[in-house]
Amino acid sequence: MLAERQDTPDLSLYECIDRLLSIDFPEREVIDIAYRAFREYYGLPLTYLAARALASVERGQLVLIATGFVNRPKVDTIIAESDGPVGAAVLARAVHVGLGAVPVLLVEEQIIPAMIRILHSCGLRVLDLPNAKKCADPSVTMDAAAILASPTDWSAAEEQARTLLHQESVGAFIAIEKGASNPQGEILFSRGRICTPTVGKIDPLVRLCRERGIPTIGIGDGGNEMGMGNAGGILRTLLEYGDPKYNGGIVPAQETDYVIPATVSNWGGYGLAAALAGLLRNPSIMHDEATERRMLAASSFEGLIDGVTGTTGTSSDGLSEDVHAAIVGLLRTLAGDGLDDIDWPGRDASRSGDRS
Amino acid sequence: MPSDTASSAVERRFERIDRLVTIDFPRRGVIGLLYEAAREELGRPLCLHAAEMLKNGLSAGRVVLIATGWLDRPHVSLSIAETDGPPGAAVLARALHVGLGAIPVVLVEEEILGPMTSVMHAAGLRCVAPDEALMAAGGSGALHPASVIALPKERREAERLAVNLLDRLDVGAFVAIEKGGENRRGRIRTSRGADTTDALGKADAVLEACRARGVPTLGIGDGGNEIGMGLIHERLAGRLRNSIGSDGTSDDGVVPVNRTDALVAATVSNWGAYGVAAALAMLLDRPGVLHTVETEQRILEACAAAGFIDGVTGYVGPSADGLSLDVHLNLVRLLRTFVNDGVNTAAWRNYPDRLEKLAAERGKDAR
Repeated sequence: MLAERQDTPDLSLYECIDRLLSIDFPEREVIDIAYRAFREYYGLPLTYLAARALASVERGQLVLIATGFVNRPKVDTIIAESDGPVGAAVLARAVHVGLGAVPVLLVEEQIIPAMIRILHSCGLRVLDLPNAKKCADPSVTMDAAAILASPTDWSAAEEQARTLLHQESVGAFIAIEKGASNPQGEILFSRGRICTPTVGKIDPLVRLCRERGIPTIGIGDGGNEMGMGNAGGILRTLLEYGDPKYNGGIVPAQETDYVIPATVSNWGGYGLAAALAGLLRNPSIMHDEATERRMLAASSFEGLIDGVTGTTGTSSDGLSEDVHAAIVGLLRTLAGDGLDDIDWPGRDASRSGDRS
Repeated sequence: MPSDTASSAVERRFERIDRLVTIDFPRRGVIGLLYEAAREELGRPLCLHAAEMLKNGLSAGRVVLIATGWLDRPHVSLSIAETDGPPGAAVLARALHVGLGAIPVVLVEEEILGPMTSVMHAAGLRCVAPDEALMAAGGSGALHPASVIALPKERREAERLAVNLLDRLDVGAFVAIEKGGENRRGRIRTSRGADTTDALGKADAVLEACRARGVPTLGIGDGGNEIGMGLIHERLAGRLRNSIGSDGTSDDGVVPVNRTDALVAATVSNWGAYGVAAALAMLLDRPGVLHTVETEQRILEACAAAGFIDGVTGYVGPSADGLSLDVHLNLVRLLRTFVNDGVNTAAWRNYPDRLEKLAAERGKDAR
């Protein structure tokens, strides 16, 4: 393991992935700030660091993936958005296919039906946790995931986190598009409005994972998600709504070990899958465009909305289905699919060795 | 101070194009160096700079000369050329016609006049003789004309052609896309350093004539050896592979010597041209100036049908620079978000707090 990492690795793949995830297509004007700040702090491509941590997970270990944003609470708390769950499903698939891990999704109770359908669209059968764990054995030939309801109550969440970590072997934790508490104990939308009561609380789980040395990864796009408080909360001074005058500011207090800021949180999940595919030299870890379209359709059928436009169509974060499919296609290219093996004069032989 | 902020906000929008077309998908390891050098030289986003130059130089009825074509298996046959270059030329020709009413005159080696014409047709422009193209602009029936003419390999002949074109036509801009440029010794080299002077049309002759008459010039490349890279010759000398020749100087290396007014460095030269088309579409606020995914597919398929090869894999097919058709389609799909196709930026903008902020900014600008 260590021997593999001794020589300086070629990180150009991860630079490309980071770049693709962080172009501000919707002109939201957050990602340029967030990416630059975290990249400067961590010093290496952010998808590489997160994928490297994820790659330490052993077969049969659980990977906990928290997602879900209830985002029209004034209308009805059943309404949640498609950004998050789709990326979470992609990561669930990636850790199962790539690592033989047991993906366990944590979402608010009312989002479970949508999460089930998206996971099924992605190729993973949703089973009870004991049965999902059986599927880590490759001879079972079964792609599976489990889902747990994420309590909105702080003490119930703390209790669930303690029980999980006590009873199960957890290899890693990932939060994708998941609200987290600011220093005043409030969870905010990206523009400073309070949404604390409706969010499944994952802050205790992150804290306990870190205490136990279990790697934690946060993926977000707005500044208010778990992971965005990293680097000592640097975004607090850089983002407009990081300012404490907005209900304490959107930037979370709890940090994760690694962070991937992306233009769309789902893309951060895809990028992490692509980076894992690159690291493990297995392009099939990355999902394809057909799967992407199927998941977005499933989100629509289950009533998840585009959080920006408020429609239940197949768009997400204000970007059309085709745009997401194009991102997936290009990430697949980077992960090694659709690229002819090329003998460029400037490139050393190491890359051809990359490919089997 | 407000105007600084305003211009940097504009530049950030256009910067996104540069960032997308310079992602090193083939991991060739060159584009980072080329882009940084060009960016330092010009001090602003490259596609924006190029598009503004073309917008200022061209107007309805004026001619844009576009040189392209790389005959890249000369040891086999001079009729073999690659798919990187012609699609970019066709897309930019289309954009300059649709956006500015310019008449594109494309210059390629005579061996590929037919294939280049097919690619132009796939882009929607009907190729006729230059004089006919000029007449079409004033006629009654709708026609979107262009012209494809031979660029001589012989230097003197190319010089004569250049003078003739500039005397006869109202040339408003010159563009070279994936076109080998001459080094200080007058040699054109492949990115691997091989001498390929004899096989290629001498676009430098046209470039020099244009510069002598003050016609704005743009070069688009991806390897460092194309016309346009002369602008960053010193910055590349000794840093780019094969930039130093056998005499220990850059005089006979791969980097050309002639300078252009604008330069776009991209991962694939075609993408540089698409990026300029996207920037022009943004400047004009006309999404139709940038071609669609469907047109991109038609263009690359026309390339294959006309016998162009992928210069990297050597296969005839709708790929370019070793990247499959899907990669190019996905790239165009993402470029189209910059002209508000497939992205609802209004939804972000229309958040009440943002509207208030924008109103406040406008108030500041007015003062």
